[in-house]
Amino acid sequence: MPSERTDADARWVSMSRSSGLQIHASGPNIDVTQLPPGEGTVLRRGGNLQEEEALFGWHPQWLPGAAATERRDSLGEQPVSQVPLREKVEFVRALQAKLTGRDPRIVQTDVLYREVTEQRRIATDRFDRESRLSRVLLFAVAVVHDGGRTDMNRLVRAGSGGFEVVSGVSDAELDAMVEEAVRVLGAESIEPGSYRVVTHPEVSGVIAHEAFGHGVEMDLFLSGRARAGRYMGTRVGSDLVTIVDDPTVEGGYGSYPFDDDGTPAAPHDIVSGGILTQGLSDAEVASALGASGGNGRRQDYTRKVYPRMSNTFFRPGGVSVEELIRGVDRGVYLRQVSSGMEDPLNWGMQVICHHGEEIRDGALTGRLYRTMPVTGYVPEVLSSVDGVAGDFELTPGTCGKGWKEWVPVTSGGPHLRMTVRLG
Amino acid sequence: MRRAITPPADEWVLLEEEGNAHQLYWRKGSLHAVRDVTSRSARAELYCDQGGQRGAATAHLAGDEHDGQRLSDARLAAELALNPAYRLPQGAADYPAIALGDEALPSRDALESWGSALHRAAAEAGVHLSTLEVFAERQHHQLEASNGRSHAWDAVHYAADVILSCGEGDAAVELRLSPTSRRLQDLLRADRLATAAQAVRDRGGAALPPSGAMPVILPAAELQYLILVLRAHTSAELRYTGALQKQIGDALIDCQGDPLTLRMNPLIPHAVASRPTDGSTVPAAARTLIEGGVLRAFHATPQFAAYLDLPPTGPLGTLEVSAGTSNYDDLTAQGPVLEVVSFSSNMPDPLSGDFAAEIKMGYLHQGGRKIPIAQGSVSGNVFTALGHCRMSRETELVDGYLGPRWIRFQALQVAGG
Repeated sequence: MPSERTDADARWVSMSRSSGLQIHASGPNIDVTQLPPGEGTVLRRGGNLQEEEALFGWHPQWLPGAAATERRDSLGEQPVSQVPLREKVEFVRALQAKLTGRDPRIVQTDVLYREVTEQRRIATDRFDRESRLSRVLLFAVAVVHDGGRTDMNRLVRAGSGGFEVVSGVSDAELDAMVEEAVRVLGAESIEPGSYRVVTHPEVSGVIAHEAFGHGVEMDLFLSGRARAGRYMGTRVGSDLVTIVDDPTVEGGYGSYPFDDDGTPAAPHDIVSGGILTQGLSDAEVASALGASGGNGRRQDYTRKVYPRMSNTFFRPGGVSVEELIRGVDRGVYLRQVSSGMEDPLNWGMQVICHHGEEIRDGALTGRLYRTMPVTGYVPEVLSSVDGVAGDFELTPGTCGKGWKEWVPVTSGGPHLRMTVRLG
Repeated sequence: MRRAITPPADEWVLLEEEGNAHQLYWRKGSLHAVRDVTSRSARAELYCDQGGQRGAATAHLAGDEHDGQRLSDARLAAELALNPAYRLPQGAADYPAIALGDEALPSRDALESWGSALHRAAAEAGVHLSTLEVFAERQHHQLEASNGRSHAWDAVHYAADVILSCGEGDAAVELRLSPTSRRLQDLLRADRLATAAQAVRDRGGAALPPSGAMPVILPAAELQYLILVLRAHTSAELRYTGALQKQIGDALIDCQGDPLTLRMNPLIPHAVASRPTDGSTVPAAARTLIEGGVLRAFHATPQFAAYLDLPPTGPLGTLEVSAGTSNYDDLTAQGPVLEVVSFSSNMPDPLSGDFAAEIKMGYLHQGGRKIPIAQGSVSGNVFTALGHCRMSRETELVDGYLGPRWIRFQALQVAGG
């Protein structure tokens, strides 16, 4: 039973629960799983020591009223609750069938569909807010084998909204995905060194995420773990570099109407024209540092709220991707990411690229490289950005703080041109 | 909890878990947040037979008036997702008694004392903790299944997120430790703290490593991630779905150095990966998966065991790698040898085995000297690397890995200065 609250307690209650479904077709096998409801109630007491009691279940007796005073729903044009399960299963099967057999070197195809609809209500003495938000994810993988190597490529669609987020995968997209998987079989290791690179939006996004996403989570300012805490207002990149975190992006996989403290979502310019401008905070950190909050997120009710990213991206510029590539004599087009890790203290950056393609004399050569560590000192890397394309793409992902506290996010932006260390 | 409900299926498994946890958060030595958490879950696996095939679906029950609908929905889902037939194991099962942690969950005060002691130990070692987070949970598990099998067990789990730091301002350096254990006394041993503290103190003066192919030593904390590639390549599910091509009896690793033998072992007392059973209802048992580099067995659920005509293997448990015969001095001799203390992150590709990782901290052994190095990267392929390696005689248990405390790989690619 919930413990008794006293009048001296800060009145703050958060309740959340979700319904979700996962359909996974892997080779000839298919599974359907209802996702855990994650139903919980959190009571928070403030003061010098923040105390939370997190209880399994939905306990509305702690709420001030029967209904919230503010309510936001993001369920999309085709809410997942209105699409029959049979249609979703057939969608997965049909997509897998289209993928399988596209190339004789395909040894396995995998299609995963996941939907989660989360209901949250956060009530204090000052507000009572409720939201329902659906996130939908589609992940299609082709595993290829040529008698020697095995590798894979994938196609991802995800966002907040309804079933419309994942429908409409074209044959051309599947062909391109499979063709690239087969090409990667012949990819080589790259000679370590400094390279001029053009980054696909997926790679651009992870650079933004690892460099000045994690680097400005302001709880790290309080613990002395982020160099950015001492360098606000200073130049950290070229004039072309603007990095934004925006939880209000329409349909963003990392979007939300208010954060897990109940603070309304709002965009933040982290780097503006190369100048480090502001960080990301939750309510506790905002109170301590005079920030605005709005980026407090928790994995679920069993975990604490921390300052986290939402949708983090470079703002697009005005040149074409072709123009970026033409400007490289010898370099690499970094195409796809495997993983990334932050280093907020020393402004290091580690991104592992799954594969990329050589650029010679301003053109792609067809020679592929695989498994490339991309490293560098963040201000040097961002100061080397001398080209920002006008395109824009966001890639969904799941972000951890270290190796825990997983939340859905996107990262992205346009193609960029910069200098980094590879290998 | 929900035992009154019999899932509407031809076969079913119900796994219930109840947990109580304390979570404590320190920042710059001060406790700034605490949480007490209760959790509960009830997962019902439904198996429904239709036309000689079997569909499976999972329902998560909440103990409320909607559970009936959840089970009905799951049954419908199972009927839509049909696979070739298989059955749960039949007959009585003898589940092993395995010690799975402290007798009771420590109080919040006891955990606060542990954290305070760790702060003092770090200070004595010449470093400080920028942040410390400690998570302690006790869970009760209850298994019940239509094949008549049932079992209950309790387990305790600890995890910590420890940031060791040294220096101030732009000269500050840090190292992250993320230990797990089932007993508080095992969570962060003094020797591991001492090694990490030394590495942090040395990090300030570290240089880039040289570039080129060279011998590289990895510690147990990093080896566990490379071994996960072998977990994937001994998966019956991946074999059945077509991602793997090797058969039992094929060589996975061409062992030119120390032979590699890998076992799955869910029986190790107090190991975080140990458990008496899982949702398959198969009792825990140790089994050799790879012997001398040769694939000897796949780990398999009842479904994929049936498809591949193999025995189901139950919970995977700890991945045990056989020890070698070398000591630390043997492995660091004949330099230059790069010894990695920690990577920034390490996520080998599970299918190809390729890996690349930035060096957070390490040492270059050369000419009798131990030179601190940092940054730069190490890359290679797990299968090639394990085929040309020497393993330490000393072993270490880290999370789900028990094996050589160090492995020296004959030649990995290092990118540095």
